[in-house]
Amino acid sequence: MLTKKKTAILVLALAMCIGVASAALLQYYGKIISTVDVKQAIYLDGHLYNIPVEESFTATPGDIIWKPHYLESKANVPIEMMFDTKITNSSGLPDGDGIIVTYSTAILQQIGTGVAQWSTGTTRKGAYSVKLTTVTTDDIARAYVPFGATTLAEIGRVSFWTYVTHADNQWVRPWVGIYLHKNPGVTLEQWFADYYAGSPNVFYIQAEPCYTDGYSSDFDVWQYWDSEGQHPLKWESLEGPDYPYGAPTLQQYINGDAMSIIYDETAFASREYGTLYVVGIKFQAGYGGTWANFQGYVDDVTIGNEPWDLELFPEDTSFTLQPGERLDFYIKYEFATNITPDVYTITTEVQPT
Amino acid sequence: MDKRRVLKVPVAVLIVALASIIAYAVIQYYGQITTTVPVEQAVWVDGKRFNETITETLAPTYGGCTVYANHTLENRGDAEAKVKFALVNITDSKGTPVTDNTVSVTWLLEGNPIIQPLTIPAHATVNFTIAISFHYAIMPDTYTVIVQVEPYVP
Repeated sequence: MLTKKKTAILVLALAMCIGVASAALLQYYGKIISTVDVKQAIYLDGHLYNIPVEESFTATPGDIIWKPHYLESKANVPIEMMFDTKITNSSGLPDGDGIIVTYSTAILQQIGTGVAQWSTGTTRKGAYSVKLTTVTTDDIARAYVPFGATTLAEIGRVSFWTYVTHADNQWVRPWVGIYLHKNPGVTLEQWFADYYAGSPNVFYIQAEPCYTDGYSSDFDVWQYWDSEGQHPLKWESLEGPDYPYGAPTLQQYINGDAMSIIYDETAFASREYGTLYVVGIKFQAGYGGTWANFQGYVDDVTIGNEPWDLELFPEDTSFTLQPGERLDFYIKYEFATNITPDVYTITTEVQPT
Repeated sequence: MDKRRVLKVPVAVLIVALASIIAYAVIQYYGQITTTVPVEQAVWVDGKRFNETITETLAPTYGGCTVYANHTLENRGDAEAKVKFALVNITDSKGTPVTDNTVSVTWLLEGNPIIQPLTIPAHATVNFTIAISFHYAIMPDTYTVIVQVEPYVP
């Protein structure tokens, strides 16, 4: 009979045998070591996450200041993110009283009693549209998208949707205007300064939907307006005749054909417009015609081949960038008239959600 | 002392002695062959042996992206071989293990995830792909992924 000691020795010997047998078998056929340099998925103004984008400006109480920025996705999957804002005073303490910061893809402007505001009530695409209202003919309400270094030929095309609920003049619709300049990087303020100075560098075209073939004056329906297609928008120019029904298409301005489209002995263009730089594009209610008691919406804009959806991005609310998408947006800094004078630091973070 | 016990000892010695004499009289074997066989491993990764680690640097990428590395498995044996793919570890540039699922590794065969174990027929070569996916919020860095192709043992 085996004693305990003998049993232990036997078990140990068996274990050693197993060990010898295992060592003779391969644990793996091959090993692969892959090294990958991974960069961040989303870039703000092309910066790395640890290199802040800094801008400084002087504001007076009551000012509204817009600053352009862009986000770019390098990922090949949709990515959700959100804006986060922190405001501190010169003592470094949190102090956002009197400062409102918002983020959007267009600048809203209004003149007179015209009102341009972000709306969730009637939208065609995304969460927001721009609601435009005018009380009297002289009012203006618009969404404005600044450019600067992009030529009209590079843009090539503009389309948008409108939805009108009521207007004293059933024919009016939000329309589109494009400010153009011979020089790149011109702001709208500089464009107007050059215009009033009589500069030969200033150009402008606009298209009103009611002059489009097949136009319908129905209310309460989304309507599509395009610079191309079967019924393209007709564009009048600053230098051309006042004859919208026979005005050229956007493409005819770009390629110079508008130079040979003449009405009342005046050509619509003195040159091709394709190489002119786009200062900005506006979608507007008001000016010309009768705009009393107008209420309508603009949404689902396309500029060039890229969707330029008119959207507001509320803080702490996620939004999505598609693979490779670039999102141009504007930070709106709004300073109350009764704000305490100080040097404020406003920090915007774009955070993954 | 017991006489029988005294007698048993010489008898036993005598029996052993007789047995030895008989054994010496019988041939143990007619011949002996010593065979030496060099055995290589059955399955080769990228034509390399198990102890030849394959090191590769993939193209730079971005968070939210997946990179792919193509490799081959060749079964040089006469029997089919079952293999499994194992993730050894993932580390950042400081050598710190990445365990928060910001990096994920999958193995693909003709674009489809491999169902393990993978059977490789005798004398067959299969192409497989290592897909390394990075979370969109991953900290920019240089990441190292080590994987092994192992014999499948049920």
